[in-house]
Amino acid sequence: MSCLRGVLGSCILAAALAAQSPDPWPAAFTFENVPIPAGIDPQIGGLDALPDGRLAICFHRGEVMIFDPASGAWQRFAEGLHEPLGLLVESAASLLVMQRAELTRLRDTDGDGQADDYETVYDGFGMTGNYHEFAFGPARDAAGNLYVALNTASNGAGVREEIRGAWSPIGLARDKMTARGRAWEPFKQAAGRMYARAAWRGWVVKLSPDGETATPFACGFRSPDGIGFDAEGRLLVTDNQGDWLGTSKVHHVKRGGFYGHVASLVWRPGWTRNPLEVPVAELDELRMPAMGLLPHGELANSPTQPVAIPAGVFGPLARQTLIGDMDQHTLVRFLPDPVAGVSQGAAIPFLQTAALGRGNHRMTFTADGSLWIGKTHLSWAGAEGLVRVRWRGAAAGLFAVDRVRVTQRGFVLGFTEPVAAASLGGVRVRAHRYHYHKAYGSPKVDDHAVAVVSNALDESGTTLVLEFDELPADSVYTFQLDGLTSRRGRALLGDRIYYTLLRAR
Amino acid sequence: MPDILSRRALLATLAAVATALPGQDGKQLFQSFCGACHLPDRVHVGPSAIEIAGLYRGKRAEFLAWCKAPSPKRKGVIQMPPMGYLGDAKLTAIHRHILASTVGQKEVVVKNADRFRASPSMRRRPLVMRIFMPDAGPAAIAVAVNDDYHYCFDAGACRLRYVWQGDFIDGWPVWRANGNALAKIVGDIVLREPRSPLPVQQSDKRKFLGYRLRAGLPTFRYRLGEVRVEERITPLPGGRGLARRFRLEGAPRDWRLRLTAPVGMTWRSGDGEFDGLEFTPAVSKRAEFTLTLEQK
Ligand code: HEC
Repeated sequence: MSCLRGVLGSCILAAALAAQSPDPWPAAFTFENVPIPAGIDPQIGGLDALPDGRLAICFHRGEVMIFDPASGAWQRFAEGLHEPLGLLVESAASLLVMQRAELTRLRDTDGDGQADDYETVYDGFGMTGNYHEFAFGPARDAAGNLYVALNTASNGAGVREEIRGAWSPIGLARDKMTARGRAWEPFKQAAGRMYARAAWRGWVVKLSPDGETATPFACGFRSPDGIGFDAEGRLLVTDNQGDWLGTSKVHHVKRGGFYGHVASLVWRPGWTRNPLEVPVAELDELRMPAMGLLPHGELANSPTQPVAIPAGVFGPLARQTLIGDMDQHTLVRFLPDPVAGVSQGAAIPFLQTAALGRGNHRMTFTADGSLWIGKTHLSWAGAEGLVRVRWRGAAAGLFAVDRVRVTQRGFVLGFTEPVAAASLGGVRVRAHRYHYHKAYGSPKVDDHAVAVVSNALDESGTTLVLEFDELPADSVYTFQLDGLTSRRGRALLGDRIYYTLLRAR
Repeated sequence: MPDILSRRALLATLAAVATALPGQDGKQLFQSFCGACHLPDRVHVGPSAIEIAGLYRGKRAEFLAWCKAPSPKRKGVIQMPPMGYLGDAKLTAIHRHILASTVGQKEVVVKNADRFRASPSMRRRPLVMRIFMPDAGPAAIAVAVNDDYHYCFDAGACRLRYVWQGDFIDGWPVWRANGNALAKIVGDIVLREPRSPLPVQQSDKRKFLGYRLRAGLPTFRYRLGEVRVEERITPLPGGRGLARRFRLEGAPRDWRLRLTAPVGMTWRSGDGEFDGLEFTPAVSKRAEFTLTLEQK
């Protein structure tokens, strides 16, 4: 009997732990790993859907493959590209791929299903040979303009003797920048953790639809792996925690903006000073705040591509924005809430489950409602392969926060289903900030509990009004919605909300 | 039966959950902030918890110091990002977890070799491969013409850099990680050109335009100043060497090529005259001529 009691005791323990952290995601979504053909290093740099529902996917060692989900067949379209990290379909016979050295148009001109023409669309940016000078994009706006994002270099290494493009004289002397191995160690600090000595590093560059005109568009990016448009036509760029980034970010990028990482300032017309020597207060004054701060270690460590959920997909979440992440077993769902032209909003975990895994790098949707996720790691944190995610449909439900609106005194949260009032007891709110500084990352600053003075669910049960005594701006408000369920007993999908408040209504 | 679900049993269970918490905190933190790169029992992006425990048992202060300011130590791995933002208390909890969770554990050895070395997409000939190459600019393109001859074209400088004979490249130093290395040439260099053989001025703008594949081999196109160039290298029959064809648009009448002496090979052409290493295309061949690089 005591033995039996022991067994049941551990059952209760398991149940107690499960109740603490249930995983509601697999009940609402399916996760399927798609086998990659043997012989291909299965790290995915880019993917996009062809008009007929097939996928074009580029890999770490430069292959571009066409995958047909209907038949499971793979076909080689192109090969030999240099670390391609973005792919955009123009038509079944024309793909744009961003590789380290250039934006390339791959065209199948003879209809045999393989690219025979590799046209250089844009290579007007610099390369020092530093490994961290990745190139991302392109994203296309409604008018057909293309946008690419250029990573800064890392002081994990210097630069090569022979570079491509223009060199900025601002900063450590060039003969020191080319030091290697042990000889590099004494200089790396002065180079800056991430640096931008080759042209347009740390910038987003806009290309006219014909590719002929390149316009440096905005700067201040460190490692802008993700670039894309949301359903409202906002240009979104994600950036990675590190020097000058207390935590990772998603930016709403506008022309001429400086988004906080200082290295790229050397390419601003007329700029002459070493950004590392400019007073931080002055840099802070110059910079555009992030639309969304994504708390490190909780929500995102290395955010990737933003992508809009198309109409008709994922039920009530259609037209919202998803963002990938390399390190966390989650995507981020972003709900903008602009106030008086200031872009801000709420970031919420999406598909936060071990079933998703890490390394979620590139995403696209197909008309059948599938979300395709390409994974990579490049020896950092991440994973490999292709994952297909499908919603189990209306019967499985999708109980989630679908609106977050700041008010004068607090926030209004909207839900996709009526909330069980009795489950609101676990709602907690905290607020914190981050330092803006040269150091790598930032702890949470002034992290404190926010007293909720009133907490009212409307009659329909889908709108929760939270009011506070005060609502200081320039803070991340974290809503912990532990144990919240719908009236139908469904667990909330995404029970943390991270709202970046710049301006209250 | 009902006594099994009694208050006492439940309290005992909750007590078990509660005592598990302090340890879990370190475990949770380790998983959230380190787990993407450090696995418990084997090397991943960084060393295993077992290896770390071996290095930092009884060395809390040193552990904290490393986490706040990691410096490059191992070869061929990424830089560990600094973790100082977590603060001493959290890092200490992680240290405690690493030490406690690895007692009596054995490291699982992971082989570090190129799984794709022999794969068809690497072994196909001909093959065009854009990758960081030695003795070239960063926008290099390696081309395996056939099983014997290979060359490196530089899309930044818009010129051939060198030709080698052997087994193409070993790209593993680049592919194994994030590209912080160069590919290795497998074989022997037979030609190294220090500059374009075409009479291009330093001040001429160079623009790489791309390439077209025919029978797997690229025809490069680029602009040197006002001159539009196409350059294509193909194998000679019988493994004798390579043919290099130029097509020029907008070239002046008096163009002459300045070639470089190859090693163990020689330049030939039926399309013009040699004066040592200077080659003048015949009038009728000015817009399109071929040179061969042949074994002596
Ligand atoms: C993005 C990947 C990454 C993350 C995240 C990461 N590390 Fe590391 N870590 C590495 C790498 C890579 C090395 C090896 C660095 C080297 O040898 O140059 C390393 C090495 C170490 C070492 C060994 C130091 C030595 O003396 O050899 C310790 C200790 C360590 N990490 C602790 C941590 C802790 C604690 C965390 C979480 C708070 C963490 N790391 C998070 C990548 C990471």
